[in-house]
Amino acid sequence: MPFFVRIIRHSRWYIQEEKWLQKGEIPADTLIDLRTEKNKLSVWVVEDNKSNLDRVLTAFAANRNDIDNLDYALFKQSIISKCNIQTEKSDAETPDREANISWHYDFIQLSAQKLVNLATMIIEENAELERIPKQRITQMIKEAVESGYIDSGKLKSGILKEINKIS
Amino acid sequence: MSEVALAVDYLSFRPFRPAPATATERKKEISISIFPDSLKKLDEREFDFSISGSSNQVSETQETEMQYSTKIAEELFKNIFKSWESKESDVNFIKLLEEFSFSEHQEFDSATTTYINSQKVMDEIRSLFIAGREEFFEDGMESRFSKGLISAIEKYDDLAIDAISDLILSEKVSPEVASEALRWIGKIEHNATYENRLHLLEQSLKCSSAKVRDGAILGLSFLNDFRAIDSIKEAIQKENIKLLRRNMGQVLEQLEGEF
Repeated sequence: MPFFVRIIRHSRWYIQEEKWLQKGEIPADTLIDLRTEKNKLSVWVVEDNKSNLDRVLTAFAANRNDIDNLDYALFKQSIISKCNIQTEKSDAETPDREANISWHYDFIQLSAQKLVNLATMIIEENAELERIPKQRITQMIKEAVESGYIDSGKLKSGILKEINKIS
Repeated sequence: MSEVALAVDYLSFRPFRPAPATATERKKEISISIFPDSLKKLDEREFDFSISGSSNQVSETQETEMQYSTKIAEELFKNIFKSWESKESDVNFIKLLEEFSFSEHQEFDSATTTYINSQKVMDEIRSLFIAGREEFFEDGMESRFSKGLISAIEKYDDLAIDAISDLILSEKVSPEVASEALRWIGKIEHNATYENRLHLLEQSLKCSSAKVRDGAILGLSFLNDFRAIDSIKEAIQKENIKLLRRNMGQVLEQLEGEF
């Protein structure tokens, strides 16, 4: 079963710290990482064997202004059906053209209630929360450029400066 | 700038004495330390600063050890100020200092002057943190807050770091904003404030907010200084949040790899 990945900030998901939460509740700050636009939420689909995970993460990271660490939540597709969330294929606008057209989706027609359910399921269904360090991201982008996945002409100056530093 | 301001805060000239040049001194700069005795009673910190273009004067100072004349001290300060004269805030500070006569005051009390200067910086930094609460922070992207923070550090050097430290370590500001600040404090390239930034990041690992501790560990990962290893090990031992503990472990591994 495929996965979806959403870029987050781990610091908003340290729920053990929020001792005031009632059972089944989640901190509101997690919703900051599920910011919608026109009631849509941008996500990436990841193959069952996670073979394209690094590719989509690299594409996302390469679209930033600067190289930075990258935190993400990887959750099973089954969560979406449990939350009754609809998906729609859409193109992203990262420097990786193939990733943009192959693996980017939107969760659509999202109500506030569905978002809360999604955040709750991400926590309860033990989504994989991982952090890729800045150094590793730099290497991944550099390799993607060398492999031709990423068009270096579309990278921002802050990214270019960092990848040019490493041999 | 802040070191001088702090020194002047408790200043008498006599407590000044030269220290051996530090390992980090630049080739054409001479590093000396200020040990205001009155300050040392309050805090064991030493205040280092570097000056350029005044080697003769400083050599003379080094030789005279504790026997400073007010003339030497005056020259020393002039040289320090000369190297900072392009900065508006420093020029203002110099003007304020000039209201005092070095030659006529063996004991130079400018606590008020320093207070005005540091208070101005604190007010500016505090406003920045308050405004930051209205922003959405995203990794890899600048914000009005991060731009303001970097600008303040470049402008006020350690005086800015002191103000930021005060706000973060006393936990007077939003954890989300403090976390963002710590990331950038680790990220920026600014040699003059490096040691104080490292110190702030290490201390912030002890803050009660997990958000702040996360910002601190990220800042340390960007700084990539193996000297933080012990602080991180200590933080890992105390950390109750599994995910954060794992993130700290990742940075520890990175720094130990560098070491």
